[in-house]
Amino acid sequence: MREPSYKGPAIVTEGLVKSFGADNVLDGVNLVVERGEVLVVIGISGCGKSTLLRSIIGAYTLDDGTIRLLGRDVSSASEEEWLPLRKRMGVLFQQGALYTSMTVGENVALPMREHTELAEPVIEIMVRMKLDLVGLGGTEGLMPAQLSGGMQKRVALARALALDPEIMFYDEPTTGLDPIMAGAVNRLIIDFNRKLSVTSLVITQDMNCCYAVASRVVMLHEGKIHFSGSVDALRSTDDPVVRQFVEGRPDGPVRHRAAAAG
Amino acid sequence: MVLEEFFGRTGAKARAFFRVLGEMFALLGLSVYWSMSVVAGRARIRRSDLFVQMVRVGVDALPIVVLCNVFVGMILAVSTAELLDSLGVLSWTAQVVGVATTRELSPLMTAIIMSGFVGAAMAAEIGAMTASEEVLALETSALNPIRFLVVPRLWAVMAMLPCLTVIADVAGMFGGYLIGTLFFGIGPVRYITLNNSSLYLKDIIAGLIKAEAFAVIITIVACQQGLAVRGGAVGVGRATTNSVVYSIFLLIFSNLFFATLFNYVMM
Repeated sequence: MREPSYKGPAIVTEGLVKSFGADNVLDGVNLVVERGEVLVVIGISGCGKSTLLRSIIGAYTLDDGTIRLLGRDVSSASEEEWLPLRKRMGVLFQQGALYTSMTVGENVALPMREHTELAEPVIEIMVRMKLDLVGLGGTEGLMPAQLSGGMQKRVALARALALDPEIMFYDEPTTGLDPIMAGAVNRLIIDFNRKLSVTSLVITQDMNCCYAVASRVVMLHEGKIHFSGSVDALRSTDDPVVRQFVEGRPDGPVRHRAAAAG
Repeated sequence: MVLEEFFGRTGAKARAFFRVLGEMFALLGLSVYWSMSVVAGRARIRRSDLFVQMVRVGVDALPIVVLCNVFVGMILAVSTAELLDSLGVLSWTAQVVGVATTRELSPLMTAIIMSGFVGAAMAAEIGAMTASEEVLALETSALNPIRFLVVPRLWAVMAMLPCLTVIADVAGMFGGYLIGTLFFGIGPVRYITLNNSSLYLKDIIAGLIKAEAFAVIITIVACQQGLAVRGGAVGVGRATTNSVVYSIFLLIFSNLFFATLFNYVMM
């Protein structure tokens, strides 16, 4: 299934444009995510971070631009062309998006049951392993509604890892979690990256998460990549937009849409 | 000015309706495609999903379907017996009820009950899944939502609605029997004999054909509305309401089509 021959960047986007109505949310985004790195995308809420992530995972049709995932152009890929790629990537959604009608165990097992020919006892062991990985071994029989938000998110993480993806997408992985749980999730992201060499794209507005996991940071502003560099470069830059965001100052060049309108 | 505004609004609504109708046909096409794939063994659905849905659609809906159709039979008997009696043919009540239930009322009534009982629940469930990104999560795990969510529901409703319709036929006739024998004094044996003499296999089969079409309408409308949800709880509520409104409209409209077809073309 794997194609070790392809050594280029994991994700490449060129001139990505996506608008909703008259609103150009993405206005020419050029992004390269190298193999094995953890790229963190930061930006104010409403700057198009989520739109960027959803465009890359194929949830939106693009208005313009190209996306290449693992060397393949997916900008106008059909469902059949998407399938093999989707088995090689995992997505952690902001709210977890666990299947509420299934138990925790069934949630994690589903991708394996559907996409592999593994025998049922093997799948059960795999499920146990994935849940142990996120520190939730033994919760197989519970329903998602019985779990706290943080636990749901970790189960979702275990599910996203079910097929040992090469690329992981994280949509606000720490939002809504208490600091300890957020720290635990950050450590998991780093572990997966280092131990399983999973390429990761993290969308966040939590600077702690950004500092903890990033090997490179990109700031999205007004539909374009405004800044790109290491965590150290982020800390030392004197770009006023980046400074305002990083320091969390309400006044400065960046204005929220609601604030600008009001 | 007023007219312009009136027709403008009506036009916009009509356009929205036809757009939704187009999406429903698109979903129907994809559902047929995935159903074929499953039948051909190129894709699979989880058998447990199918059974869960069949229980929800069939077994759980049985009491309400039976009760409503008994009442429909009673209403028919009450409202025709008086008239038939004045014409001196009181016992024809049995035939009137028998023909009306099998040919028209029990398939339509059952489908309308099911669009509320099953369609609304389905639209709300799939709508909530869409709103909470569960559907997107399915897609990104390379699980087609139509194969995974729509096909089992479609098959379950298509399997159960004809069964419910047959039971509804019996329930309707039983309602007529209760009124005919208890209130109008038609002899039980005579009522049953007359009732049976009015039954034609082709009426019952026509009812079953309609039930299959109604099953498709209920499921596809509910799933289309559920999958099209945008914007949280408000969107789910709107999808649920629209699902019931659209499906009742389409059920009655298609019933008109079938009535014409069976009466003039296939006679």
